[in-house]
Amino acid sequence: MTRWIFAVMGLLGAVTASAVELGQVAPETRGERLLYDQTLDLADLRGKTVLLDFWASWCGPCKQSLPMLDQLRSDLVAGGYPDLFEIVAVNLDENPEAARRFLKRYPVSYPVIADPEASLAAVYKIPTMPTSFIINPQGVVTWRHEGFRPSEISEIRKQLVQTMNGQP
Amino acid sequence: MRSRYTTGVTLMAALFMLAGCSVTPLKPWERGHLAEPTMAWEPDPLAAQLESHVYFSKEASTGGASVGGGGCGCN
Repeated sequence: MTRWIFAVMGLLGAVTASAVELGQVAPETRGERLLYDQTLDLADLRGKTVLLDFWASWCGPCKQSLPMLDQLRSDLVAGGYPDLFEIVAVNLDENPEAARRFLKRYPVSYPVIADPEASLAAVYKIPTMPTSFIINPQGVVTWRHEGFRPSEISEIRKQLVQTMNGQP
Repeated sequence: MRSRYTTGVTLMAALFMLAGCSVTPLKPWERGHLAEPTMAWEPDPLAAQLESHVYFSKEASTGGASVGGGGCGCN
């Protein structure tokens, strides 16, 4: 009897423990771009360092994080890292129109994919909004950042540059 | 033997029923629903302000409808 109970508990635990862990190869990440009629597949960016950023239009800190990430991208492109990285944003609004309105107000130069059913968010099991991941050129998730404060952009930059330079 | 089986089945059934009682927390990406205007404590801020004005005029006091600060006790 005890064995039965532990078996059920183990099964439930196995279902809830399936999250993306650091050091693990990033799961298949593909989605329709929000502003263009195109599909973006993270596998096509293999060989580049990717900052994958989950956000939504109703998320307060995202009003700061998106413009600051866009500025960071411009700085890194100008600073000698033009082809070594990309930022990919994953929008989790149920209504993509709300996200488009947000992007009119806070435009970004990096690709944004729509995930209205939050299937990618569930796969990555994001704990808060926003959450970003750094995926190295080999496709391995190396860093996760939860939430956003303007003072944290320097740490994000440091982690991106380290990953681009092949440092763990 | 039959009694042990019945107890086991009863315990398993109770376990699943208890699981049904749990409150499922909102996922981070579902919190947008809480940010909708319909979820606001006062959906009509203008009417709420008017009501508050009438309240403190009649009661000769202000700030009685709510408490200041975020609960830290520092205000």
